[in-house]
Amino acid sequence: MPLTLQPIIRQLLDDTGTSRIVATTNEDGAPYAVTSPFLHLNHDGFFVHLELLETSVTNRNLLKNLWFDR
Amino acid sequence: MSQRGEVEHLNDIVAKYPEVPRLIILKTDVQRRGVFYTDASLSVLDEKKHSITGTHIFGTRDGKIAPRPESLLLRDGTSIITTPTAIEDNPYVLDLLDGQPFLFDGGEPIEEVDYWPAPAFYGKLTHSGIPMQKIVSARPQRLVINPHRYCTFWKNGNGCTFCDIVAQIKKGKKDLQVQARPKAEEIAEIVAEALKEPGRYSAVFLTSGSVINGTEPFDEEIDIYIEVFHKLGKLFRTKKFPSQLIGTAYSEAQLERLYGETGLMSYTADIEVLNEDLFNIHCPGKAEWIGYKEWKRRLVNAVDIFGRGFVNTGLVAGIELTSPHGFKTEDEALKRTLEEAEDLAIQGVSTVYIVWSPRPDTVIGNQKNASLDYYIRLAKGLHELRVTYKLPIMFDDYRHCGNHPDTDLSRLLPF
Repeated sequence: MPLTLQPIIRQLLDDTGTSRIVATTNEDGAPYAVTSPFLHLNHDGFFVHLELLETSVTNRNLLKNLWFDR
Repeated sequence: MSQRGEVEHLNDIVAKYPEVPRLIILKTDVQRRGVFYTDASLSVLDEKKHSITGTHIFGTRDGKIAPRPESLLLRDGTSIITTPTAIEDNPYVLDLLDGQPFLFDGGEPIEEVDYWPAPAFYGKLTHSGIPMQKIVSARPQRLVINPHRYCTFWKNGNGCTFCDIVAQIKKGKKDLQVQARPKAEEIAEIVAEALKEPGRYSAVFLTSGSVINGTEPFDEEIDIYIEVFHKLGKLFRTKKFPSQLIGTAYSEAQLERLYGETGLMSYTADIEVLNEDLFNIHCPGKAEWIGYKEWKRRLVNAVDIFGRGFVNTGLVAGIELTSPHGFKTEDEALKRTLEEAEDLAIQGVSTVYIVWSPRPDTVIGNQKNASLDYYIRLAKGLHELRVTYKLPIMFDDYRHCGNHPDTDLSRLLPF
């Protein structure tokens, strides 16, 4: 479902000078954070985070969160 | 079982296997039971936006050739490549909910879906005027090429019992003007056009029917693939490029030729069922020309050439339970199948499965496939073998093929 965000968040995401960090948790709840230089909102209001590696910790955490409603 | 009962059954299985994502269980069940598309769901299908059934190498459960979604797409990126099914056979129903395609069962909304987005090259014509999607189609991030659509095992009536490739090419010739043998130059022309779409494709994939002709049986089949690979190779800067071939089980000399002379990186030879007696019954052409033990030996030999994690074999899961020759219980079928899959995994060969979809133009098309419980246990079992024996399966995963519930589970592999 698309996110409803405060206008200031959208403005920050449109600003190329904004630092972007994606934080996820693993199955034990341990946090893991990485910079996400290209993080943006698409036309439909979804966050788009680009991953180079299918096997990255972030990607696997995101998928586990989605699969197991964590 | 009633339609309402099917919904409860899905939820039972989701509760029984908390370690398996609900979306993968749903996908498996939709593939098992098929989908009926309502007029409303088809009214939002737009060939400019969506990937619509095109090359039709295999038939449909409802026996019709008509524009339908090539696949459904779930919110985790999982594809449901499924076959349109008559409403009388109690499939899932695809309808609209608030204008969005949605899976229903027993009248209850189950899950939102999308249709696969259309590749940019669909709708374009080759230099000879053929619509490009008649020759090359697309999975999520893979270009699918069928250089030869006929299977010569059918010449003496020894086609596989679950297969309708020859019946389908006859229908395709008449209804779709699909070529049985497209030109390699034209295939390369289409792939070049497809690769212009930024970021969409990460692999090419070739498959065809078996061709027994040649000095050594199947030499001609290999010649066809090599000709296409040579043309494709000119599109890439490196000798090897991400690619998969599903072919017959070739001899060592043939495999070395295929690997040495082309950019091919991964190899699949589908054994279809992991039991010698059932293989002989369901795959009489493969049994006649190669044989079960030799098929497996050739798979293992291919690991020496392509490497661990780059060779696999596919099962048409469910045919091992068909009467009168199949296993009598799902427990026995699972045990025997996973034992043989483990023997292959130890030697570096991965096993994947598709959910068998009984189709009308096939020998066993009047029988039923297996239970959802069986398919989930099989997916878990094959995935766990990849974990145990550290076999990556990226070349045949959800992004490239999208048709194997077991490799969907392998998305979480750390290798």
